[in-house]
Amino acid sequence: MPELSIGKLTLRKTPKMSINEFKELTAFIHDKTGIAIPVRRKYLIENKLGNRLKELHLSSYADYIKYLKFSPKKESEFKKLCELITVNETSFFRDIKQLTVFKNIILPEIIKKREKQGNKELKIWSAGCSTGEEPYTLGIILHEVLKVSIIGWRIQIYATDISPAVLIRARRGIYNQYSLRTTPDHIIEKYFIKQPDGYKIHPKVQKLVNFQLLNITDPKHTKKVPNSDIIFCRNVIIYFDDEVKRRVINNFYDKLKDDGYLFLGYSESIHRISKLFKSQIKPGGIVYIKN
Amino acid sequence: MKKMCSEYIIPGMMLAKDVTGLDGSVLLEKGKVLDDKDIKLLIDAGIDYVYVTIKEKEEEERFLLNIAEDYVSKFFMYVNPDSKFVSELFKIVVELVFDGLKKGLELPCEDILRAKHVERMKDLFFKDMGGPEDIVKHELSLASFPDVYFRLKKLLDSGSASAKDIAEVVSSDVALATKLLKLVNSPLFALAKKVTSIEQAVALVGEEELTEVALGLSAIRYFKDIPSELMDMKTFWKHSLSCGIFSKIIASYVKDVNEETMFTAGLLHDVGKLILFKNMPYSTVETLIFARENMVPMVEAEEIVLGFTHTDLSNLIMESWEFPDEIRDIVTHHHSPRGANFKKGAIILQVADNLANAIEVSRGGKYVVPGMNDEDFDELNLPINALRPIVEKHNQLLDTILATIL
Ligand SMILES: [Fe+2]
Ligand SMILES: [Fe+2]
Repeated sequence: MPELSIGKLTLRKTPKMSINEFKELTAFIHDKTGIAIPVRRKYLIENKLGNRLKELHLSSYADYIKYLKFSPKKESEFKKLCELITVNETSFFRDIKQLTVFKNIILPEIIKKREKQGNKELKIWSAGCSTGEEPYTLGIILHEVLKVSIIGWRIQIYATDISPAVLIRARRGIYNQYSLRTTPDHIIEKYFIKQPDGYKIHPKVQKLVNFQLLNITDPKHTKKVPNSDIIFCRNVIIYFDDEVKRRVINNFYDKLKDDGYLFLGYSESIHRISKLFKSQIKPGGIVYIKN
Repeated sequence: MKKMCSEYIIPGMMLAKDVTGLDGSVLLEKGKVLDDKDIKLLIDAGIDYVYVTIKEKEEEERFLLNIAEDYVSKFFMYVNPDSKFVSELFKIVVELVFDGLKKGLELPCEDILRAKHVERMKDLFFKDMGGPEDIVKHELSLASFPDVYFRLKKLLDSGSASAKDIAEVVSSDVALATKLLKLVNSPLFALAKKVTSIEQAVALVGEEELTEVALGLSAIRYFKDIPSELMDMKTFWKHSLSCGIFSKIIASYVKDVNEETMFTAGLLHDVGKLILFKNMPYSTVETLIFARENMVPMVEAEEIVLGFTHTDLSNLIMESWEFPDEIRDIVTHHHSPRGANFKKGAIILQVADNLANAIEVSRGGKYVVPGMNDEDFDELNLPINALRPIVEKHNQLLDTILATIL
């Protein structure tokens, strides 16, 4: 009888994580990614990692931490861990107003300037690109703005993320109807190819984007990023504590051309933590330029 | 036949309709009994939902209970699974969802719960550009609080208001008087006889008590004109009233707390959210999305996204409106009762807020249960098995009273 079985239900479905295990695990995550996890999120972490323990036939989080640090598969396990603790959900043409600022104001300005300088090269860094919607959206916008003249340009959209799983999906470039919910029909028609398993991004957009596994908090990693005209990093630094945020902002400063623009998520601000950038209010959103 | 999100399907269910891909080709045929592989295929192919049937009645119950348990567990990911309060709450909600499923309740799919497709927008204020003080200052410059409120407040403060005085002030505001009468005549107040005048109501409920409830009701009106395309105001007030009702019922079990004070505190416990929403609508939306994506309670999302919480705003705005100290203190600490002067009241409100959030899960709510400490709960001396009857009583009252006060 259901009445009976409801009485027996239990919420505890994972082993218990001791406070020391929690501290060790979060210190490890913080060291490697810059993501800070407060102690009040302990049960959430227990729940998110509980399945992983089961799959690995481990009976405690202490064993899991050992596995993360010393197993021959520690690299791939760390990547799995990242997937579980970070949020990776975007859609095409999300943040429409901010993209409008990019399309109507920033992009035309840079194009004009580079044309004048006789240097038709454009480099954009999409930091924290998740499953690829953002860099592909930027690629589509470049096609829309430059039209056929795009062939005269050397364009590179450098798209990076710490999660290899999302990068696999990003490189595949196949999306379902839901991802395309905010995309206008004529854009879908022009830039996507309908396949039985979904909509595939058109090769003319795909070839603009270069996906790389990279940790934006680590200067050793970001060294590899080309000097960029524009950096997009939206809804990523929100997960970092102030010190790591500062580090990331420094990395962006190093990688942005002097006349370049930085785009952050709407409720993200760096004003309190760093004076390297100053904000500029444009109709539709805020962009940051070097101070 | 039941419509079901792909991710909630349990192996053994049978397809009631063909499942087709984007190009119209048949992916899985009607009559197929689904196994793990099929379910994975559905999810990978981006099929949001399918129609399934279950053959045996007994089997169906088992399936539905499984689904209810899995579904409700998602909303309890943030809280201590070993807490007795949380465990009891969990069971109550599983049962509600289970009953709902039997009656055809459709559970929102994962991508809706986690707000995966909501467009983000820009805001007037940006983080770090204004703290709670600036927001409240801005708010106060916008609109003034209802006049009847201040007249009532003055009466309350004088300490010598008669039933006639109170009735006179309340009756000057016909809409308020009508609502107040309907409310006190509702089963929530369980008065011995039907009252037909405010004066009678004061006599039965008490001067201070009735005035406090009137203060709460007149405060609601202040927020009437908030545009609702971004935040569903009905849902907001339903949650608020739910907390008010729970608070009042729980208070009836607990010594040394006033039921009407608790009702008003419950009714207004999240006013900070309204102030936030009025002044920073898009940041509020961003916070809501953050909470859903990361499965954390709203207060924590606010802390991260905004750097302050709705309780900071409630405190400041209630101070400016000269709300009774007790109500302000309880409201300010409903997520952190240990810092409250009126600790029992704050704990009652925290319990009420948890109950309200948990019940909402069975009604399509999208936010996780915030949880609380068992040690705090124990201070109420409320037996854990009292929660079930409290929930039942609340569920009988909520919808009718909502119609009364809005
Ligand atoms: Fe609250
Ligand atoms: Fe609440």
